[in-house]
Amino acid sequence: MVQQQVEAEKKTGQTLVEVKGLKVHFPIKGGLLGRTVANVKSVDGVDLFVRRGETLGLVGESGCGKTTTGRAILQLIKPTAGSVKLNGVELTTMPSNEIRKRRAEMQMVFQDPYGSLDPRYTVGQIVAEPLENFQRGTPKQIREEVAHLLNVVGINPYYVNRFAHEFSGGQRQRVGIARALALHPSFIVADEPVSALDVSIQAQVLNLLQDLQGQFGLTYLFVAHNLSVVKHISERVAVMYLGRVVELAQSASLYETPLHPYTQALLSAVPVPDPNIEARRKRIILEGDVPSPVNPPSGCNFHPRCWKAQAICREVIPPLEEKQSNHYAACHFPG
Amino acid sequence: MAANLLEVNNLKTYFFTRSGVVKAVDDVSFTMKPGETLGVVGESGCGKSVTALSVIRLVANPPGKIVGGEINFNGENILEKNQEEMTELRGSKISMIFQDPMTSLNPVFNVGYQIAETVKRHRKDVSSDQAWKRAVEMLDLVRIPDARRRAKNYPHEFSGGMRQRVMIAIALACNPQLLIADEPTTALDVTIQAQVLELMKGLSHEFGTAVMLITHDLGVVAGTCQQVNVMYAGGIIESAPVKQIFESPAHPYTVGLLQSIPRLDDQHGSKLTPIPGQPPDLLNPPAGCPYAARCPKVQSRCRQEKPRLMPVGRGEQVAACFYPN
Repeated sequence: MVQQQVEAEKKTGQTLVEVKGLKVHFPIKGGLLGRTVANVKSVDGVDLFVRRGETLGLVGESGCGKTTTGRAILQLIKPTAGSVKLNGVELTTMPSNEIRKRRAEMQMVFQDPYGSLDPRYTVGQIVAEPLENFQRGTPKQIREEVAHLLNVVGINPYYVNRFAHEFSGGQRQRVGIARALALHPSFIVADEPVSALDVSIQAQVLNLLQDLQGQFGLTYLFVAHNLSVVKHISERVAVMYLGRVVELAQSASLYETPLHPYTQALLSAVPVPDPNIEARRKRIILEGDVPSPVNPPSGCNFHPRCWKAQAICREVIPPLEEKQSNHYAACHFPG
Repeated sequence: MAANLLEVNNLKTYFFTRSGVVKAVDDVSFTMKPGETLGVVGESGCGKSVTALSVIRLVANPPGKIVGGEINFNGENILEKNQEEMTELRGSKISMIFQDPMTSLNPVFNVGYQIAETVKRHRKDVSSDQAWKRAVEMLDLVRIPDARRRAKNYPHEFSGGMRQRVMIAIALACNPQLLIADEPTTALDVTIQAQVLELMKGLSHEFGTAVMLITHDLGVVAGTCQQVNVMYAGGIIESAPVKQIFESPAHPYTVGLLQSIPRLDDQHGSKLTPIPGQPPDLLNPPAGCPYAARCPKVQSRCRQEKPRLMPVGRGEQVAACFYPN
């Protein structure tokens, strides 16, 4: 039933999350008076939208601002500027007690399955905590719900009184997922949920996330640096570079015909586990490193490393525009 | 056929912990030819790093100890060498680069000094000036721009990818015969990983250095290695030329591993086939095949008897399985 509903909503493409001009700047204090001497422009004007029931992958290299974007959408970090709408409701201007109530609708799964679970809580307490905070039922009902949730993520409810350290990495990540599911959110930001796991375990957790999406009608923002994983799980993918989204498209079209030079270089750098393909592939090796987000280059911030750069790239920031149907890119010379 | 550069026979490295003996590497044998690139793949805790550390004799003791086997490097058993002889060998004939380029360099010396130090340590006839020149030359070789000036910089003034390149410069400064690279690109971003792998490939080719590349990324193996050892629970379970590992994997674990990774050339919506369960606890390893509990082809024999590496009838491919694919 839920699944049909989700399918229908997917077709109409109703937007669940809408982000416009999102900026998060972290001040650098310096000098005797502790004045702000500069800003780390972690997120510098991100536009994107997530449709109900879909998975939007957010990829980029370390320091490109993908995690900060995820956190700023959930208002875990106060954005410096811009707008974030969940279900049409503006979150950035909302007072914090209101946001706390909204947290039932939007949850997060964290990267580190070791650091994100309290070592002094049993698994049962960890999953029960959100239910207790939102007074979802009597202690008995909560106990039953916790057992149900653990079952759903593939952990035997028999282990409800064990502590996090008694579980393996993959199982801990399952506990983190159960906690995020507890309040039946509509939107989950999964921040590198499988990057700390071994490949054989990684596949288990990815499959679980996909199953749960169908079962609970979830919408994911899947933040990761591994392009193969993102391709596997996402309908659409947004690529970030130095605080901005440089390309946003259907996963198939992004991976087959990337329009932004950075996406092209990024994709060509991913090793494919097939020696025949590897032997034939041509790599675009980017020169140098990612510039500092304190003092990003003018214009298109990829221009110092771009082989297509012209004078205009150094001066004008290319906007994220629809270059092909449903394929957005921020580049003066796409393709 | 050239003589083997490295021959590891029945290597056993155990860790003696308070809760018992962990058989991190248990009866591992393999060989490497001069100039060959060998990939060692496996998941965390399978013993790939401990194998590498055993070869260069850097296993922390206590709790670790090489309890059996032999490691022949150029025909000499490394395990019979004393500390002094080992120090002579490390950095000149065998070098190692580590996963974390942030902590492998000394923060209080400039990088030029750290490269020159290695050269001077092993070449008594080299003057300080010559060593410094060699350092600049090495930095240039690993494509650090403006090497002469950058040699005077300290590690914190370099990015992660550049630090790993400095590590490579130190490791290759004395033209070693064997370079052990333990997850050299795991801490790096993909575009930087591509730079570093390209560099390592080029340099090992140029100098004829054999490379033991330890990684969990099968994609990296496919693009860089000639021979692959797949490790599981402290042992090698399959060894073959790189093409065969990917085209006709023989051990069910190798098959499972290949099916569980999402690939860039996959179609969207395809489902991954994960390997059920988890690797065994090396404190109490199971009696038979260590993979038996997770294996789809398991028979009663697998639970009683531990399979040894056997040819599977496809050239040089060997697998430790009674019922290989």
